[in-house]
Amino acid sequence: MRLENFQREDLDYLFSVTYEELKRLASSIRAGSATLNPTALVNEAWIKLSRSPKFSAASPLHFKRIAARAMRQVLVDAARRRASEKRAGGAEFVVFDEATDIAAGERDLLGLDTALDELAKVAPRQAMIVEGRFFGGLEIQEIAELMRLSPATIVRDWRSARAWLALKVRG
Amino acid sequence: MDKDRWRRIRTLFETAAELSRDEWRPYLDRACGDDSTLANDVLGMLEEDSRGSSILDSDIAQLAANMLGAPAHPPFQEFGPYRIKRLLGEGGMGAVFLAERVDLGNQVAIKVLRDAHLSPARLRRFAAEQRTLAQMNHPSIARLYDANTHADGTPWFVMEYVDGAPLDQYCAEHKCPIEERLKLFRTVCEAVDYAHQHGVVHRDLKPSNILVKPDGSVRLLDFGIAQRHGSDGAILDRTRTGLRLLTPAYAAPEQVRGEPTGIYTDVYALGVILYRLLTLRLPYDLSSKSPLEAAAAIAAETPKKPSFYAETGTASWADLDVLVLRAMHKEAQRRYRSAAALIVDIDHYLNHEPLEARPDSAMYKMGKFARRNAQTITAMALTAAVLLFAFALAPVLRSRMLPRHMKARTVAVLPFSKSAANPDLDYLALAIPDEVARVLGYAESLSVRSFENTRRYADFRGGPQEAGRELHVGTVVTGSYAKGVDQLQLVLTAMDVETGRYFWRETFRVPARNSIQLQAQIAAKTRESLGPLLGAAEFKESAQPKNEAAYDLFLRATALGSNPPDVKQAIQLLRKSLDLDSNYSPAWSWLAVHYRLEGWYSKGGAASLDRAEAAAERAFALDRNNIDAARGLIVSRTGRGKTWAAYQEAADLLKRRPDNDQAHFALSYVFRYAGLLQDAERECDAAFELDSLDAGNRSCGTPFILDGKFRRAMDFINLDAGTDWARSFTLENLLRQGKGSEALSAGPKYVPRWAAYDVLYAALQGEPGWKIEALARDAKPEGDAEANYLAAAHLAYAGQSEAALNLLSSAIQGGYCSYPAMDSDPLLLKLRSHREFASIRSKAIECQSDFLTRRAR
Repeated sequence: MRLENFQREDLDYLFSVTYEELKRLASSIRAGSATLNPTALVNEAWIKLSRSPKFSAASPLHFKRIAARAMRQVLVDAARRRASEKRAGGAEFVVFDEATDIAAGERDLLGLDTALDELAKVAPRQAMIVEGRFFGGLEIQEIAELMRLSPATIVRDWRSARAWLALKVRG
Repeated sequence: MDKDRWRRIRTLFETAAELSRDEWRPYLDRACGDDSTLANDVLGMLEEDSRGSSILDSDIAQLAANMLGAPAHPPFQEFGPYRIKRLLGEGGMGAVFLAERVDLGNQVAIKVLRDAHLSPARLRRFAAEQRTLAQMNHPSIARLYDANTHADGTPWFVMEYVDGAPLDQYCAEHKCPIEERLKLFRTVCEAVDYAHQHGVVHRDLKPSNILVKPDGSVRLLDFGIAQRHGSDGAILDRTRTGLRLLTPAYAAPEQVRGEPTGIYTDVYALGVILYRLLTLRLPYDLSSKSPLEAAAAIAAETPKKPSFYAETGTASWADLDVLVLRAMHKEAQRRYRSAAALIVDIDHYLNHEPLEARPDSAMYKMGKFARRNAQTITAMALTAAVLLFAFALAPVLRSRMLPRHMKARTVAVLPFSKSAANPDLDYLALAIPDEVARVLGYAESLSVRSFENTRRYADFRGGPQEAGRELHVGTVVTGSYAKGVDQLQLVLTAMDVETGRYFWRETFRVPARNSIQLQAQIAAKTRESLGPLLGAAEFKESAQPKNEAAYDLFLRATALGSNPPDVKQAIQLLRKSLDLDSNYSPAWSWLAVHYRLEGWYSKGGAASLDRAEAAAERAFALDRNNIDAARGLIVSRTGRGKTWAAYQEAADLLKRRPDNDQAHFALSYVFRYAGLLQDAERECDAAFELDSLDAGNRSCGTPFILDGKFRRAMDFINLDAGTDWARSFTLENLLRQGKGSEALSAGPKYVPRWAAYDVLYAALQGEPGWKIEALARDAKPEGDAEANYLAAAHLAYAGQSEAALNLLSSAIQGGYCSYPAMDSDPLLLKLRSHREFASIRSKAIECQSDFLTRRAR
């Protein structure tokens, strides 16, 4: 099953869950008690969502692919909103060091998003690998299985894509 | 960048990456010629490759923390008359702030949904929490004061600010004696029970959501994942529960397994809270476990009794153990039925009286142990189980119980476990129990649950005892099979549901490819060995299959479902089977069922219904004791307008089998078509009393709908909850309550093929008149008289009087004499002023009085 097969409301639901899980993850990290990594996070979401017949039709790996897309979307949306809020005048509340730090994070994330879109036009497979691995915590082995390619191919794809994206983001 | 360019970049990068750093530049200069941009890009990539410090090397969790974590700024929006003072806490949904009402100076808590723009689902859930709180008016539940929305769409609401300590912390700090802890806990139970009474299940009860104020009063907070439950206490929406990570320590086994939650889920959490209050510990040590390991522990581990941690004192720890462990029992059905029931036992304890709850018996524990060892629960198995469960949902439990003496004689046969080694024999997992159920059905003193109902317990994870409880039977029969070289080994077992004890087990072998012998042996063992144990000494003569190949085809057909492709295949198999052996009644009976399904739901129309009737006649003629055949014959005859002939068989059947719910249903079916709604309702009630789970009685909803008893109608419609059938009759029900838009969303996912449905949908969706009219032209009478009546009502509702009268007329002609429905059905309102209506109505009266005169004779 592909991402396109899901209804709008399913995706809305998926985004909603992903957002809330990420949010929780974020606050547990700030509280210094991070017990989750993105992989565990996606696993959790999978267990919960697989109850919905629509999602249970997807294999766990396909689901992770979809979840990776959702995470990317959620994070990019959040970064965009933060950036615009700061422009709107909220920045005066932020102390200087923190401001530059956070701003860098947002800039990098938005840059990565744009560069990934650009890469997807010329090398969709590589873009998908980056999305799955970085945003969804998929292992090389899992991606290889999902795409029916050898792990060695995935590693090669990843390496050149990563180098190019890093270059673009640093801009 | 185009694809060619990317390919070049990639090739250059991969080649250069094999070289040492000082060879990069010379190689690239050579390879790129005067394209220095290309050379520089690749060089940049090589630098990045060796550096590994880009965003892609960072931890996404940290990134998420930065993006979604600390707000970029404190909220600077206006909150009406409230001024924000500080952040109190943050959760998945949003943030809670301490605020002060400027004019009055009192302190409040304001909950704000963060990032509302991200999804409508979040907005809906936030609104749901607000609605829930608004409903609650209880001294121990935090109150809602006010609600509003910012200009940018961000909703917020104002609630009581509770300056208190979490329940467990309060008890620890104040070194409360046991009695005081129990009294505090009792107050919590009261608040939870109040919520339950108002149809709300909290689902996230834990000490940090229960605050104790300095004056010792308690407040329950955070209904963020609360949900509405139905009259039986189970959550109605089973697919989309639990949007966020649970707090594992207080999560019930059904929650971590992803099964439906309900009042019993809150009762479990209350049990854990009490455990914590009494021992200052949690029942499971989850600190070093991953979420999946934690889930496995909650589902499978036995916690230490609270008394294990007891300090010496005056408390009676044996009773406290029972209180706690009963509340947090792994099996929802064995917990206290409600928070109120828990309160009763707390009061008993405080008054030094014996508790109502008892500890698990030794017998129960032994059964439990065996079961636990049988299935090693691993994290992945759990995930798989969650998946399975999505397809094999247990029916909603009803509180109605049969009297004890009747229960003893009630039997359900469950699907067998499949033999993993022989997938080609999977059909036996359904076919063998179907045969056992059929044989038992010939004992008049037994009430056997129709296998159509029990087949959904395939792969049921609760085990046979749990299934038996859900089906309200005294005995469950199940078994397994395994294939040897040329033999099939069968094991049949019977369990007493009350005690969970197996009281019968038979193991025998039959030649692997001889299904006739298989059938004969199953029938013999069931009759001779199991029958007497169930108190059924006498079995009526039953049909015997004669032809090996025919019986094999029959078995394969019985394992198929009721969706159109299965129906088609089943008809083919059964016809082949009957070509080989035309004297086997059950095969005719099944053929009748499938022809009826074809006639109703897959374009078979009158032709299929006629075939169904003929097959039912054959089945019944061959074996008058086959209750399925009798029921099928009565339904078939009724649907084809032979009300009187159907009535005679129905009355006879009921005389022979007064304790069988199918017999009452069959009679109600005749009454319904004869327009005797109250008589139909009475028989339906009797059927429901005898078996409140038989999905075969679902269409009993119809007389209640037509009689305006909408709530009772849902009891029957819900017997088959979740199917398109149930959805389409929920739609009928809502339509007649004037809830058109609700009906539209509650209706079937796949609109049935009937043109009258298209017309109705077009009308409900506000399509233009010409379009509705065009659709109405396609509305032709169907084979079944009641279907025509319902279609006529749709057309009338859509204002298509002419087409409606046409269909109504064929309904009456087809033997649907329901003039009382015609008189009171709100959908026919516009029709009643037509002249033709009066003449159709008088025909209906004639039809009914014809029936009544015959009956009077």
